[in-house]
Amino acid sequence: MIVDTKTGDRLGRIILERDTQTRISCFLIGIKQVNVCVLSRIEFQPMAWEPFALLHGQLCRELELIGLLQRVTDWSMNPTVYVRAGLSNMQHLGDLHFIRFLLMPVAMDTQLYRYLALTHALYAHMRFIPLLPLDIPLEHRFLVFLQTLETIHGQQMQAQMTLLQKLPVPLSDEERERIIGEEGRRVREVFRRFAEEIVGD
Amino acid sequence: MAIINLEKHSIRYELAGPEDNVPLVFVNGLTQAAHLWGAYVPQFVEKGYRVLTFDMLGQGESDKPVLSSDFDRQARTMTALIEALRLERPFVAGISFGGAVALRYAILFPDSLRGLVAMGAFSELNGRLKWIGGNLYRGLASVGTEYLQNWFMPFNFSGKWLEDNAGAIPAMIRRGYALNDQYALQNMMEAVSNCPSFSHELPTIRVPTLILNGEYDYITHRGLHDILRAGITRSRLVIIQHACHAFTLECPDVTIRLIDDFMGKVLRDEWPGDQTTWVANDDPLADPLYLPVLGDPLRAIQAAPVSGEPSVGAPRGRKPARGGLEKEEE
Repeated sequence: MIVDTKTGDRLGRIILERDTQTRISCFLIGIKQVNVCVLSRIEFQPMAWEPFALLHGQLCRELELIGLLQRVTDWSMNPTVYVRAGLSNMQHLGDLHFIRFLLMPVAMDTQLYRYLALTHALYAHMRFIPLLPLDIPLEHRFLVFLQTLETIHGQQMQAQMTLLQKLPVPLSDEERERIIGEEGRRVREVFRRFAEEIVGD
Repeated sequence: MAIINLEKHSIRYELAGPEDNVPLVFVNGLTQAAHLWGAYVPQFVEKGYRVLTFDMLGQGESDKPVLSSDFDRQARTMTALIEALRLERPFVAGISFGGAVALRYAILFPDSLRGLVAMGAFSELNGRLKWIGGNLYRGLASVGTEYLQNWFMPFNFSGKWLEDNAGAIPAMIRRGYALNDQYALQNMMEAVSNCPSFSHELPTIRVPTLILNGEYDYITHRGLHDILRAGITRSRLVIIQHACHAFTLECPDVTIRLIDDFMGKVLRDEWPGDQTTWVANDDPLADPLYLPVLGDPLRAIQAAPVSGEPSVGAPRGRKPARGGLEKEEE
């Protein structure tokens, strides 16, 4: 498990509080907004290439999910929560090294491969439901949405899985595994710190 | 629970029982994790074994590779784990996906085990299993993990078990959902679909082998187990009555008794290993343990011989079933 049982129990107790919902939504929306910017650059390349076919739908879906998160969240009325969320997002986005992809030349290269590995890890590892105690009902609309989000991320990551295996870049299987491993560890670490942060706040 | 690093991957395992006991290793099915052998571990420790359970690569709390994995990689990781824990010539028992891993282990490391228990296992994908696997993969990729879990329920368990455990099933699914990651499951399923048939290698398995198959296992059906029986020279195939694919969970008492009987006979050098087929006694306390099979074990129903005339008592308006129908699975 990414966090220990104690952290999971505490998260279970507070996850439906407005402040916690706000922190989680700000975190997810922050990541998705950066991803949308990167995907837009892939979207508007003046050429036909395989990543476009697979990632085109992801741009639309990410925009839709940002909208749905905004709708489903019981937003906090406490302005300091947003200040905290903003500072936290800056830290986490920096730790994810996500911003570098905003400036990368869009080409079939190792940098694109690393972006795919990072977004695969984001879809695969940022799962809130497994952190919660098993006896917490998932009927509240926020929790229903978080679980739906995991399902949608599972569908979205199919593009990454295909491209991570088949993208024609000069990387051996071992190098591919190494890059995927590095990005996976980075995401898990950021996610763990975020979970502990909202429980500790 | 312990974690060990092997070949750049961390593997979660549990080892129970005194060091000088005969080792026994359980290998999980696709969506399982080590804790699902919970009913087995204390009983086999009590019976004098040292029991190893672990999460395979891609499962539970072990590392989950993203790029393709295969059965041989799992078997190699398993042998590294067994060696690291200094378990000498264990019995290896695997179910379903883990059954195939256990078979590969027995083929790749024939001198490293004392006996093999292959449960709901397969050495090739026939047309039907290929379609089942393909549909499951598509369902997992396009719908999600919960779909796969729900799909498995009626194929893993009998109707009675599902009715009796209706209240506990949501928690069971939720726990499985939390432990499993979709990408890792997909990766493991790719290992199945990319696996070439290894039925021709079965004769290299020289150790005593018990093959177990649920009566109503419609995922890995009887024909696949019969291939194992015919290919492994010191084997016996035993059918567990009324059970489906996950009989280790539904009928632990019967399964434990069969495995215990098998290992005891192997240790006493009494295992017949005569490639015969038997039916397990439904009562885990009654004798005999093995019952003979009446009729063709590959058939789901036994037709009466063709007599030309409807038999007395046959339902009106129906003719009795013809003999010599194609075998259900062929």
